[in-house]
Amino acid sequence: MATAQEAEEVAVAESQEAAQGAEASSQAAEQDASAAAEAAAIQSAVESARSAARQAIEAIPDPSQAATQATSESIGQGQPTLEEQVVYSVSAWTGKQYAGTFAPRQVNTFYLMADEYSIVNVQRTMVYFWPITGEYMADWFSLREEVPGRLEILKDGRVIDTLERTEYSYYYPSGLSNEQKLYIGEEAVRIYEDYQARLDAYYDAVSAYYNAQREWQRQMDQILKEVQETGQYKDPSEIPEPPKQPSPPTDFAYSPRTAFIVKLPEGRYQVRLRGEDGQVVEGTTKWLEVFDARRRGIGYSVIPEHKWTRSFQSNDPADIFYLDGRRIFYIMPHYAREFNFYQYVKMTNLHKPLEGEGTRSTWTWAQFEPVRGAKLQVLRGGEVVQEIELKPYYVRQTPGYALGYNIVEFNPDADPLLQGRSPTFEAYRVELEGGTSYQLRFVDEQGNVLLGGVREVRPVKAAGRNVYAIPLFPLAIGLVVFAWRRTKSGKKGAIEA
Amino acid sequence: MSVSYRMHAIKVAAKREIRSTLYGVGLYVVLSLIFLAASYVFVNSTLRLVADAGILAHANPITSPLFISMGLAAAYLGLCSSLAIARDRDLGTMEVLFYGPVDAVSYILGKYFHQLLVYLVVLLFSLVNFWGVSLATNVGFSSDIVGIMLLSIFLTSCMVSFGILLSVSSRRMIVSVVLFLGLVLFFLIFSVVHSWVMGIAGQNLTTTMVYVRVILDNANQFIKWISPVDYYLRGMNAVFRKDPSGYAVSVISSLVYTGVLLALSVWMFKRKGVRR
Repeated sequence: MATAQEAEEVAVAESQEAAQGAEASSQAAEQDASAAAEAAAIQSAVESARSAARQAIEAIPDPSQAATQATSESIGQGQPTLEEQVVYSVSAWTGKQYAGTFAPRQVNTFYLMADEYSIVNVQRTMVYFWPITGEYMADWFSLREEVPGRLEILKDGRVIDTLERTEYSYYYPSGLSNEQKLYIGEEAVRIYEDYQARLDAYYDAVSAYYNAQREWQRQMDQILKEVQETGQYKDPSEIPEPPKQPSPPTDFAYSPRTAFIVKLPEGRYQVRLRGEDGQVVEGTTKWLEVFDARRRGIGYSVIPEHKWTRSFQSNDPADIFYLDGRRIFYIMPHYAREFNFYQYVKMTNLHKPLEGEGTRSTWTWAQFEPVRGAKLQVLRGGEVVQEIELKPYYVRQTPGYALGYNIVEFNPDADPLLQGRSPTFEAYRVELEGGTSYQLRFVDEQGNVLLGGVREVRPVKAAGRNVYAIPLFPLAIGLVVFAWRRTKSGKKGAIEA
Repeated sequence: MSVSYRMHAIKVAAKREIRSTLYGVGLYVVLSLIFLAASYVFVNSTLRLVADAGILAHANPITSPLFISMGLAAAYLGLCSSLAIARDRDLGTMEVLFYGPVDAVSYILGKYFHQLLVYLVVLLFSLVNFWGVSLATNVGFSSDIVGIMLLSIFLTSCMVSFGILLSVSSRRMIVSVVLFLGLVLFFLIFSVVHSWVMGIAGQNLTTTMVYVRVILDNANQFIKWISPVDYYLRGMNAVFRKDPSGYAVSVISSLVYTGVLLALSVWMFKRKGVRR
């Protein structure tokens, strides 16, 4: 039979257990509440980030606005006189990207590349001339208003086309600093919506990731606690895998806007905006010069292996590569066109009146998209001796104190050191021996030689003394003639005597 | 004077003068000096750059020394033309000549064809020299170089007619020489400075440089029609661009330039007369 003392001890123990149970349940409730609050906070933070990202994308200025927006600093200095103007904002295709400018009232002609899409808009904004840099600037943030109407294009005084504003969007398949594409009409909306859907999916995945991370952390804390309490290590299979952080989309799409999409053949045109009242909007009649390339070809961007930071370009098909001995070099081909320098520079610098002035007789090569799917053939004596494929390469710094680097083929499977890294460049690796001449040419998948894609390669010999001895041969002949004349006149004199 | 008499006079005058030029050592010394200068430029430009860089892209590196040689040789012949007429007048030889079956047209054309024939000899030497240099250095002797060499005949034609015009417009030998050298030097320097300024990257030039460029470009719109050097440069660009129509335009415009200048020379010659 239990004594009173025993009964008292049991009662105390029971009351203690009850107290501990109550405390534990109160802690669990607190933990649940805190977890819920934490999850809500995460959800809220992700939603804020999602909303901020969307706002940022929609607020990204058009190239014409980004290139010509007056800074608050410049507006605040020297009290420039801002004037409300109707301007043409132009985002012109340069071969690699859309570059922006605008034609203020003072500029009568603007320039576009033939047979390429360009974005033109007629807008009302605040314009002033900034004498320090000699350029017109616009305060797009204070006023940016589309002037309603249709754009009329005239040739020789006759309207040849009338354009309505159309939706357009810029798309960057590999991120903002890389290749840029233009989508117009419904495709522009589709590409943006697709991007937005993937961005939304990413934020949903982020939200899910943080929840999963929190759950994983809770499980890990529990395991840690158990290990601390029991002193028994867990089997690795019992430890849960941490959740994987989702990656954001690597591409990027501009939010669609509307403007006039202009694509014209080479020629001199006039443009004007016809307002909704049927009248031509004052100050919108301007000349439009659409220019084409003088020559087209394949440009070679060449990276010499021994000086990889000193790459150079060869756009002119008449170029010959001269080698000093055996050389290894890497070629990155791209389409290239030669334009009149004045027109090409003016196209994207209308707001800078002095830019390009005095260069009407100069020509320049512009790089276009990289050549895809081509092979590089090396020819010796007219015979193809080598066919080279495009491969990724990685520039690896030499370890240790010695400065230097190696260019290695980028193959993470074969080289664990390259895992998790990206190739430095993709190119055709050419290794040529000095002593003989070669020809390099790019051929397409059908084996056709690409126009302007051929280059001759010649190894040069050291100058030596011959280079200075050869020019002396006219002098030698002169001395022979002189001696012959002397001899002849001497004989003549002797006969006469 | 009938055409056949005129042709005969031109033939005799040109033959006599070319024999005199070829039998002297002056031409050979000048050519050797010109070729030496061209080799020096070649070794210290392209060859040095290739050695320094290991690999270099260049369209016809031999064209720069070739251009220098052709330009200097053409200028030398132009100078000889400007000297010849002024000297003939100065020494009274011209007056004596005109007592014979010689008129202004045959005299001017005789001088012109003499220098042009001498240039063919110069061209032959140039061909041998640059073929030898390209062989010694393996820079190649492309069809472009032959095209440029042929074009140089028309440059010389422009240069010689320019020299003749200056020579007939002045009575003193020294004046025509100074005028010729001064103008040719000006055209050459202008051409070099213009190319250099146009070669400077277009963006981020100072305002002063932009105005300098505008002035030079506008001046070039005028000078390109009177400078013989510019006719040659236009043809050279056409060769590099493989543009046969541009090449033909350069040749035809050089011939027109020569024709106009020779006609002006004859007209001026007739106005000034043959006496000192």
